[in-house]
Amino acid sequence: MTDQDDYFAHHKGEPFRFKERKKEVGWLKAALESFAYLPPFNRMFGKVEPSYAESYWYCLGGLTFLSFLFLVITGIILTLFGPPWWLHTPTGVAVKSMHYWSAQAFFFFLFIHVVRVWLTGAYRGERWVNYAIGLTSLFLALGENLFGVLARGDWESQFVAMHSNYMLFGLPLLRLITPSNFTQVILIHVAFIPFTLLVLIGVHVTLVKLQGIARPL
Amino acid sequence: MSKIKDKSESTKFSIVRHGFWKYPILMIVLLITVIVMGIWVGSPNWPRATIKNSAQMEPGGTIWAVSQELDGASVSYTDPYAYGMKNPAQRLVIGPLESAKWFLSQKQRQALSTYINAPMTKRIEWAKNYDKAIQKTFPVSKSDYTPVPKMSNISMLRGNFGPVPVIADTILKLAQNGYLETYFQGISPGNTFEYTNIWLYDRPYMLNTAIRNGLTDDQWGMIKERGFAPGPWYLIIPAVAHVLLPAGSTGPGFIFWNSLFAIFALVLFPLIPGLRNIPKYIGLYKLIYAVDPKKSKRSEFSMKGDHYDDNIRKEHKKKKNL
Ligand code: HEM
Repeated sequence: MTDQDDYFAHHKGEPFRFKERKKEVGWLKAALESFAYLPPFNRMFGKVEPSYAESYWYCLGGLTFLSFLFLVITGIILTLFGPPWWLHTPTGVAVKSMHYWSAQAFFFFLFIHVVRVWLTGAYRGERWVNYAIGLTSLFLALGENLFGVLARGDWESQFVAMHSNYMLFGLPLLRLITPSNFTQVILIHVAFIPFTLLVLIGVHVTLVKLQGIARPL
Repeated sequence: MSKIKDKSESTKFSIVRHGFWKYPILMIVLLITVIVMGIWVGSPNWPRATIKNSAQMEPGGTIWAVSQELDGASVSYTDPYAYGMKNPAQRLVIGPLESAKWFLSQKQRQALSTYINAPMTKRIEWAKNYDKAIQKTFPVSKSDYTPVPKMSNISMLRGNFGPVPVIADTILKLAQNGYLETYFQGISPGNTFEYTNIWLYDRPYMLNTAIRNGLTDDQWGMIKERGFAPGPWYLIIPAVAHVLLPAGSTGPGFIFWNSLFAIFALVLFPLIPGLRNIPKYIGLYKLIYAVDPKKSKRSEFSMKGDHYDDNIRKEHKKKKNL
């Protein structure tokens, strides 16, 4: 076996040997990372990586994913309580703001994730498919943001509704969408796009797991 | 590639367990940051514009817009799929007045029936006269702001306006006491904000507020929040198309430029031989790799317990035994 074959042979789930790991990295780190080997995560995380990928640059996709989870959780809370709650009560405003800052975090990590993918040429070969899936998620996420602004229900929503109606949603096909229609907008923002995103991101992360981190340039 | 070359020191790269212990820590840090920012900094939240508020703040703007909704010059006359609609005069002016007839004064009812019974050309002539007269009450403005006529000037106007001034004034009253907004919500239950938004967009108040807050196209409004940094900075790519590129502010142009960018990023850049190698020539990947994969010796970074090491140990044993 060559070194690289050996590396790719590692993309099977690895069992977690706590005692050995404790000796290597100490009790705290071993305990902290044990989550990655729990049954629901085992196939996702339980693997070894090439040493050059041991930098924070390679955590950015994971951080994007975490921010996405925060978005989903705060989003579900917002949906359950409704616009008057998130616009006019202190708790509602706080949760809405956490949703807002999760979005900031999401795009922040996403953009640097893309920079790291570009700089390391990680889109080459068979990884192009996953690169395309990633970029499609990025474009969808930008659209999701527009519908988030429209669903907010404040002054900005009114203005952006009128403005985007003039530019985008007057075109054939797109005119099926009426940005001032709250029912439509909230359905797109909390159902259509997020579910599509969930599937795309799920496939993206699974493919990373299956294909492994790209070889060095 | 031959096996021998792969075994050479230069192409070796060692293998470690990925440091997953980082993730729970990062998660907690991120969670705390998001909670603290959410509570402490908040998020943009500007009370909706209402018809009542807009009519009270700028009664002159409301009157002027009624004259334009009657003579065909208002924004609401644009394509119904843009910010317009079918027959704004009926929807936004005559319809509301007819619905409110039972509590209108004698004079107001009289004005309404005079208007309805007049031929179309006459109706438009009155409204046009009133519209032009109102526009003479303020100087031609060179700024981006739409001027707002003063009520005191409007009430001085005399001319061949027919019943239009009374009609406009009645709409103003219905707007100021909140009736109009409730009426608009009632006639469009499937989209309660539809006519309210169109009505507001016919008046200078909303657009002027947007200009004041730097939200229009030429002010890069797309990537800004009203007085709230950072705003959606990540919309920079569509914003470049929208603000800088030819025809980018029209729907088809906007879609064209963004599709072009998407095709470049999705297909051309990663697949075309010269282009896709750019990162390699730039060499910035060196800053990203934790260790130089070409230099590292496997033993430095590999860990006990990994298959990889096991293999090496077996190999060593074999060699020793030989
Ligand atoms: C939408 C949210 C996204 C999530 C949650 C996500 C998540 C991830 C994760 C967890 C990884 C593992 C390695 C790492 O973290 O660096 C990864 C790798 C990768 N991502 Fe993403 N990603 C997203 C968007 C994107 C986008 C927009 C692109 C394309 C520009 C992209 C392209 C890639 C590629 C090519 C890899 C493989 C990298 C390699 O093998 O070295 N991803 N992604």
